[in-house]
Amino acid sequence: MAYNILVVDDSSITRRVVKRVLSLTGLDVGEIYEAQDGIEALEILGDQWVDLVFTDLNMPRMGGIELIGKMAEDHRIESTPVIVVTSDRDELRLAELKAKGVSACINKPFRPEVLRDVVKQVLGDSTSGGE
Amino acid sequence: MDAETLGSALQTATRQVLEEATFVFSEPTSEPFGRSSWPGTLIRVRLGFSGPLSGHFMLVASSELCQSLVADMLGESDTEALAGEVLGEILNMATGIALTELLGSDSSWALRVPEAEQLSAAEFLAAPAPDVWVRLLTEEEQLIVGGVFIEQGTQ
Repeated sequence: MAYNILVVDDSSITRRVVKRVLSLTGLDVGEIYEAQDGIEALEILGDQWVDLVFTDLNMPRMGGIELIGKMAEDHRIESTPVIVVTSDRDELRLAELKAKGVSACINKPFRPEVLRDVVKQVLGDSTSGGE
Repeated sequence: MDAETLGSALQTATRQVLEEATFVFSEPTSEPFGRSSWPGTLIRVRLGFSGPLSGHFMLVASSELCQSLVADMLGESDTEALAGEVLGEILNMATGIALTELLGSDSSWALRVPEAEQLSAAEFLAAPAPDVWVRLLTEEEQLIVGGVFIEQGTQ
């Protein structure tokens, strides 16, 4: 089963890095959608089937925390796993995110194997990743 | 907090990011920099931060090195257009690591958006000096210079 993934970040570089790293992990990835902020992300989530969301926290218009809150209010996407990718290492903030239902947090920079392991943990062992 | 501690944290963090995100290894150097070090265009990025400590970090590298970093980080061939953005992303990641090292993982701060600009070596050398310099030499013997500027009343 191929997984559709949404990458939300106002930095096109970070979006490209996540896409590149995903391609290196051996995970069975289907479509990779991109959004520059939470508003664009919600539009895509309303139109497309997405299995996993990667999101930054600090973005213009709508940041990651608000996006996570909006997703929690929508029964169609409330159970879609969210992984936060951030430079923020504030443990209190990251604990709050976990309490809001965030599946995992990844600090930048990250190695491909770290991202692969986190995705496998979040989606379960059904991911058909090559080593 | 003294400027040398800040500079050391930025140096360590930048080396870590270069290694993990671009697979570029670097070493601290005391090599002086001047116009002869950088005959071509330079790219300078600045990233402001505020919280228990406020100021901004800066990275400067040759356009040539930045384009090499684009290829290493993204595997893309259109390296010129993305050079400033990639150096900014490296600085963004390094700043997060450095501030965590300096302030602790239970501390909160805000980062602004990295700002990139092109300039010549002469323009760079004529600019106000930061509170502390950081110099790294890559395996290709290209220089990356970092600077730490601390706002008044936050040290």
